[in-house]
Amino acid sequence: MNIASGTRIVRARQISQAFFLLLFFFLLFQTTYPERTNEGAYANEIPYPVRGFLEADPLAALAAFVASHRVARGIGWAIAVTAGTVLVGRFFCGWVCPLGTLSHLIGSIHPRLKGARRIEKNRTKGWQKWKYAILIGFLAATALSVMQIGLLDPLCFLIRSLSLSILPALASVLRLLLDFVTGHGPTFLRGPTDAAFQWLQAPILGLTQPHFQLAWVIGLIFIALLFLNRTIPRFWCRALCPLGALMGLISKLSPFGLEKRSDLCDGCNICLLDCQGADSPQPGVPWVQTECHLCFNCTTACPQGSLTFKFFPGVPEERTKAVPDLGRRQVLASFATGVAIVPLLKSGSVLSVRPSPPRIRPPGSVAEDLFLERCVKCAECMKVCPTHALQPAWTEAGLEGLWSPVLVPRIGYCEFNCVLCSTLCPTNAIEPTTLERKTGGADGYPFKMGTAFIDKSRCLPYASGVSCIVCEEWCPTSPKAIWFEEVETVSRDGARTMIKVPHVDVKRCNGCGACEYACPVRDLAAIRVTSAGEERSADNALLL
Amino acid sequence: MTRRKLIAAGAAGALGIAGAGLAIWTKRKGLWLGRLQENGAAAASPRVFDFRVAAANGSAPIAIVTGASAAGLAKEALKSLGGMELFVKRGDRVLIKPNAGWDRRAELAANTNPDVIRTLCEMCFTAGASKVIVSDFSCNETHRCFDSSGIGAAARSAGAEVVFPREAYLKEIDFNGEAIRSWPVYSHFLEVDKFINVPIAKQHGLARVTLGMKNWFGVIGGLRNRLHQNINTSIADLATSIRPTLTVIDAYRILISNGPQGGRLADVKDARTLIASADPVAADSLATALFGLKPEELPYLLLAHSRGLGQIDRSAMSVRQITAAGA
Repeated sequence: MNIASGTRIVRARQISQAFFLLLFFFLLFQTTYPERTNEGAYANEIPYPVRGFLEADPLAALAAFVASHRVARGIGWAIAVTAGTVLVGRFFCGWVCPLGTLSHLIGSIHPRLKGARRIEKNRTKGWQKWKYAILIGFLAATALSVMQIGLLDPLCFLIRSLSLSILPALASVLRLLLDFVTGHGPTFLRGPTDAAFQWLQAPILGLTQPHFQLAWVIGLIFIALLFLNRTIPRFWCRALCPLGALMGLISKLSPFGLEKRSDLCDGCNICLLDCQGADSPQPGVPWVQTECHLCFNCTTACPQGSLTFKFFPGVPEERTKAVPDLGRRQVLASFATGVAIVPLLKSGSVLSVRPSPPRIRPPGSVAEDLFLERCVKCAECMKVCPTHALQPAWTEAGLEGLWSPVLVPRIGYCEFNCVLCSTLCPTNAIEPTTLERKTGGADGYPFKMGTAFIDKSRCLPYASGVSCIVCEEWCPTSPKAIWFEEVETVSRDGARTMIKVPHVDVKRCNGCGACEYACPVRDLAAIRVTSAGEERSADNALLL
Repeated sequence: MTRRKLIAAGAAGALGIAGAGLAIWTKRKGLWLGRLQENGAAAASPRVFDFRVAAANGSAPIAIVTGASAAGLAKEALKSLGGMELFVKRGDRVLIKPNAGWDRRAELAANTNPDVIRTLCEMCFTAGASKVIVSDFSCNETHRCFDSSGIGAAARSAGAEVVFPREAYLKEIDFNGEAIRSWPVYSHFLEVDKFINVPIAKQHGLARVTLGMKNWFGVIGGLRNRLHQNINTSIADLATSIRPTLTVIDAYRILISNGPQGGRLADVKDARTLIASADPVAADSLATALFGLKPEELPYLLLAHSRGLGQIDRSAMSVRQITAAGA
């Protein structure tokens, strides 16, 4: 049965890649405040399945299951992708994965490598086994509750890099251009510029310009890894991708494969020229099924017709399902490394002893140890946060919590009637949270993320007798957690006047950070939120 | 240089010269800047943006309407003042400034009633307005505020344009006020013919109540939270510089506690009232009674009165007390 020859299958693959790449970007752009969807009420539902790609990610689902023994949201898609892989192999890598497509594009537009050098680069290399070591090590650590798979899971990696660094950079350039035309251009361009601004605002520009702390590091890693694909085609997919590794292992079950006819082959090696997976399509050597992305470039390129993809291909001696050179010892070593990382991380952090003050988690977050087991650092929550209050952690949550979300009130505050982040978390590190639960409803107490503390040495009314209480104005709870007292103050010339000074009702305060955000002391606010009293933690409890 | 490159360079040069010519031409034609000029010659007296239709100081009538429907209140009030046609002329560009400061639903009374906004927009169009803009620089995220409050939907349904202030609109203006000297302003607010201020009456921790004059805080940008340090003079300064065509105070629901955001229905009182006048000080003064206050208890009203911006003494006003049909 010859179902995969000719250019038609390559064209179909390219259309599929383009479709899923566009779909990916469309969903990424929709991962934002759903403007005007719910007028007269709070818009907390995005009308598109924006975390669809994460749901279809078998690695994220497997890791979530291994770490916290629970089934991830939308597991059906991941099962479908897995079933497809069992059937035909790594179709996801070659036909669907947006990072794979980007890597493919970067490597094939005006390629740096041509001819014989390119063919040489596309031969199966020993270092392609790295990704299996990464997969095994990360899964071993995950089993012992250190979930780091999100660092290199291709979808988490791509969404995080784009959301936190590449798109904000693009937004700042676009804003600069549009603002220049509006501010300094002729007035007749104002209408079109305003329209363009509004159209681009929610998807790309951000409701306000997004700033993510030290995101340029995340961006540089992304750009460096992407451009490595020009030196070594599909370097990411071949060497690093743990999802590709997982699918490679699964693909060993697949009855679909490459049939090579050595008798027809004249040894031109043209099949290697555009080989994406470096899976040795050339006759005379064993085909490495686990590496093949099913791009069909080899069968299409072969002038002799010696290569064919089919179910239950013949010539068994030219077909191997072996993982390249991944011996038992290397599997054990990867596993041991993953296991050893756990006590190293856990014992090497004071956060195991005391809670971290700036580790303020989004509303609805589960207890910290569970949070670290679940969070895949995909940054969906940070992308959707309308005030950009959610930021990638660097030191706030320890090394384990690198790039997990923390609330940074100096950048933004948690909007009281917004629960968008909790609706998007693919692994329930942030549990789905109703508005009722978050705000406390009519008479309850709101979900407590932390507590605001007044720094009387910087607070204008306390320290300088200057009228202010902006914090009280901005406090969103009802009754307000920040209340004021009128006290007598004396000026340096002895005049006595009454002034309003703020107080924090610790029990009412939800730690949203609106007060810290709005405090007119611009650099180091006179009222600051820490994680103290967060309700998800018994360890960080504040009141009796 | 090849021939092709030469042609390309020539074309680029010609385009550049044409572009520069167009730029100079549009600038000479006055198309280059908005109508709002930035700082003029440094003056000692306050800069005034006057949107009044006639000098109405002290003599402008005030309508106080009570009734069951918010839209009905707005209609009755304008009818009593002589109709919207008195204020908005054919072809006018009108700005309607609600208080859309907070991400709160309408019934929580943190933002101006959307029915009042819709009705006013419709009346402006009926009076012949060429364009009606509804805009506010909110405290919470602006899009959320306009969506949750229903003001955005109400304005759009009446055919008005909702404008979210952009940083690029900011212009530094010399107010020459006592507290506010020079301050960035979202210029689109002031580049109109008529300006209708439509606040909601709310309790406020520092200012005690926030009404029409306090609503000007939503026109300016910059670090406006610093204005709390001298809030009464700041309010009076803005009221000195911005003279609205009309002030319409929505008191259909008022916020009596936990202001200016509220959050629970327990913070809201159904006052079923609307106050409208061309005299912004008189309108604010009468609205204080809804909170059991006297105008003299609010320093910013005393300041405004002493600056001759309007009347605070009810006995000197021509008050038209109306009960709307169906109340």
